Amino acid sequence: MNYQYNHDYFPPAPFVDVVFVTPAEPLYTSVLPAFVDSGADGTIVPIHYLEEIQALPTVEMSIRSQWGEGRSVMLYLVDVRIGNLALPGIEVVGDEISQEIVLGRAILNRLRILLNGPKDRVEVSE
Amino acid sequence: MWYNDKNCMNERFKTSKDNSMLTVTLQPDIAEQISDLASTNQISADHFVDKALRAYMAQYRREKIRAETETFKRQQEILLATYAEQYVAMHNGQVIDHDADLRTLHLRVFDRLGRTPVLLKKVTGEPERELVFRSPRFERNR
Repeated sequence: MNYQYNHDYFPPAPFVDVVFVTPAEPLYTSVLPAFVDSGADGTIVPIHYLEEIQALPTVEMSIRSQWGEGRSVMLYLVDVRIGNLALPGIEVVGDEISQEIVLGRAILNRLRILLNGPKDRVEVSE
Repeated sequence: MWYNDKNCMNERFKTSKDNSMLTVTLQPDIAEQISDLASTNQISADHFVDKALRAYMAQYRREKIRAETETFKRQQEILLATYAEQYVAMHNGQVIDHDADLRTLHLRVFDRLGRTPVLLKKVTGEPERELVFRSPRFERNR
């Protein structure tokens, strides 16, 4: 799958389209743009998307930035689809503040991703 | 706290059930306020109540998981002796199931309890995991 860089960001940012699915029920989000961020350990999803598909919180844990600011968050278990690729059983952070989806390494490490900046393209495959 | 032993799933309203729909009788004072607020927000009272209850349920689920997490922490040493490197499902302070695979465990627990929030957490002797996000952004005027 090929995706264009997002030029709403400066410098332009690698984005892919994702769908979140509730593992136990046929409930899924619309196709959503997600920021590819290899600096993130996990994936962050605005809470309203998770509540929309009635995903269940499964555990509470701590997250922090590289400078130490931390907070407690809930993780939700979902399946993730990127194009025709299915990534089952991913724990994602439910974000009550921002509106941005961040795809972290828990997902990225399962994929082959080429950030082709000069061609303005993100290429994703298994 | 929204979730505690006393309020967990108590029948607090008079209800009647028709398939998946539920009719709830509200006290006149709250019914009047809902009607006023729905009107102010230009939505139906049904929609207003549905939205409010969804928000309440989401908060309730999070509080339940927080309470279970605290119980898990208190029991961690005991759990380690029996369930090392397994995911456990904890409900009302009790381990109700376990599995090496998180998703498999989730599906089994969902079959049994539906959308009831249940703590699913790996039992490990390792230090508590923490997610780190290392991507600061420049603040720019656009």
